[in-house]
Amino acid sequence: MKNFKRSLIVGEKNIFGELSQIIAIAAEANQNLSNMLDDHKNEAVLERGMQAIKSLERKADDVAFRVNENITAGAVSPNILENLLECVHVADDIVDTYFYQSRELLRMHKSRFPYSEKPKDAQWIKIFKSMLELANQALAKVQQILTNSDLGQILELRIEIETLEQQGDEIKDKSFDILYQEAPHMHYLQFYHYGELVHKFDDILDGCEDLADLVLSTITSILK
Amino acid sequence: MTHVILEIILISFIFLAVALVAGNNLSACVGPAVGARILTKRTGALLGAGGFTAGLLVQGAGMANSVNEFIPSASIEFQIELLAVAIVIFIIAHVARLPLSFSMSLVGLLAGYALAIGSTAQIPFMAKTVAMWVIAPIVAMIIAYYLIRYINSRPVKDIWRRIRFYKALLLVLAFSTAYVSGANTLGLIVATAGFSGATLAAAVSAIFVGSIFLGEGTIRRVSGEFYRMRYSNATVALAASSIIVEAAALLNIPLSNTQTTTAAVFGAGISYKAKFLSLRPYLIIFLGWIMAPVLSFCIGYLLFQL
Repeated sequence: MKNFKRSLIVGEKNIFGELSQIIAIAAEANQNLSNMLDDHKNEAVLERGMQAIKSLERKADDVAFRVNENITAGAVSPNILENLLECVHVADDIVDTYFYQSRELLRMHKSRFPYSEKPKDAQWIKIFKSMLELANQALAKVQQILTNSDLGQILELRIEIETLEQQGDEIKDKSFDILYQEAPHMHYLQFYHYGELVHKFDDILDGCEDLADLVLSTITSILK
Repeated sequence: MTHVILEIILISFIFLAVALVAGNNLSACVGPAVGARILTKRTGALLGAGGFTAGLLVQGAGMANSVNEFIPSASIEFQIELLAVAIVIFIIAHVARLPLSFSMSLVGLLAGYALAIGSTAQIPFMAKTVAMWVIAPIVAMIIAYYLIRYINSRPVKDIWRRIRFYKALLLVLAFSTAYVSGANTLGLIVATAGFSGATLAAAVSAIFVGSIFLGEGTIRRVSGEFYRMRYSNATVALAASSIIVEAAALLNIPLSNTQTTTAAVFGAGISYKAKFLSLRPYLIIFLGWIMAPVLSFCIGYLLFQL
């Protein structure tokens, strides 16, 4: 009876449950990065935030390694092995991006460029915070997708994530307009720094959308 | 003394034929469940062997009627000859990687022999058998086609409950497909030599030997290649195959379960709007369905003439 019950374990459900741990880590990293932006001139806060995200990134790597092992060895349909491995890769990439952002913020702060024209910091922080807020919402919805068993609700959540990603794209477009307007008054490294941060914040939202799509196609693939 | 030696040879051939067929058919029965990692290869082999044995013991004797339709009173020498030729054909086809069905081959040999001795009594039964061989794959295909369409049109309330249901069903179907295969193909092999305590004991031990030592390698290959199917496709293919082969067993008509399973897999494949099917393997299998009985019929006929 015990063996029979073990045979009926839905490995795919367990994998999604484990994947949601990486998304929870990403949400925690999001909060840390938001705190760093709130006090972006305080080096101690930036350093602490970066270290916290670094440890979260390592934690996510460990979870990803374990999930990958479970995927290749567990009760999972071979048809969706590659899809599931890709899901783990995308989720882990999201946490990696938070770590990259935290290092960039700290590195830029430490460099203290010797130029006179100061960009409007508050405006950029507002842009970044708004993108982080969208990412936070998207991560919560990805989390819901991973723990949901209703296909109708999963479809709705995927559309909501797509909408958030589109809002992120709009913010990115507008922020690049501002960046190019301010470009004549910036050091080129600062221009690169802001541009790169905007791209990476958008990558987080893209990652959430890609993950939602992958999970949905995986579910459809095993169901139909 | 000579009779005892002949008896031993006959039982050895029964053992060999059953072991080869059990090992070969095991993958078609438990392959989807092993491929989906619901069962390990070893558990799959044991479940399949259990199904074959149950089918052979409960319903297998019914196939004696089929053999009697062709050769009502066969000598022990002829039974040995028949099984030896069927085994050789099966091994040659296996080495050449040609999908030839043992039951089709055996029926072809019996029909060829019956015709060579001038018997016509078996013709109505032969016609019934050929009709079954033509109709069964078509029916399996149609059942699978509409069943998949029906399943896919149903809304899914709880995805994990549905997948758990598929997994449970695949386990049951792995056993039932092995059961019908035991009742039909393995029943036919034992019926060739006659049902007795000795032939049954040889067959049951051969089922376990074949499933464990000859079947696991095939499961590894087949579950990884042919049966990399979705849960719904595998479930529907096995269900359609089990129903039809069981119906054939009840009618005492020999029917290959690989024939119905393949047709059902094809039916499930073409039920989708977007179809990415390679027709080549199906054509090779289809040719095998024609070649196996025709070739065996000719051999059976010539063997008697010689």
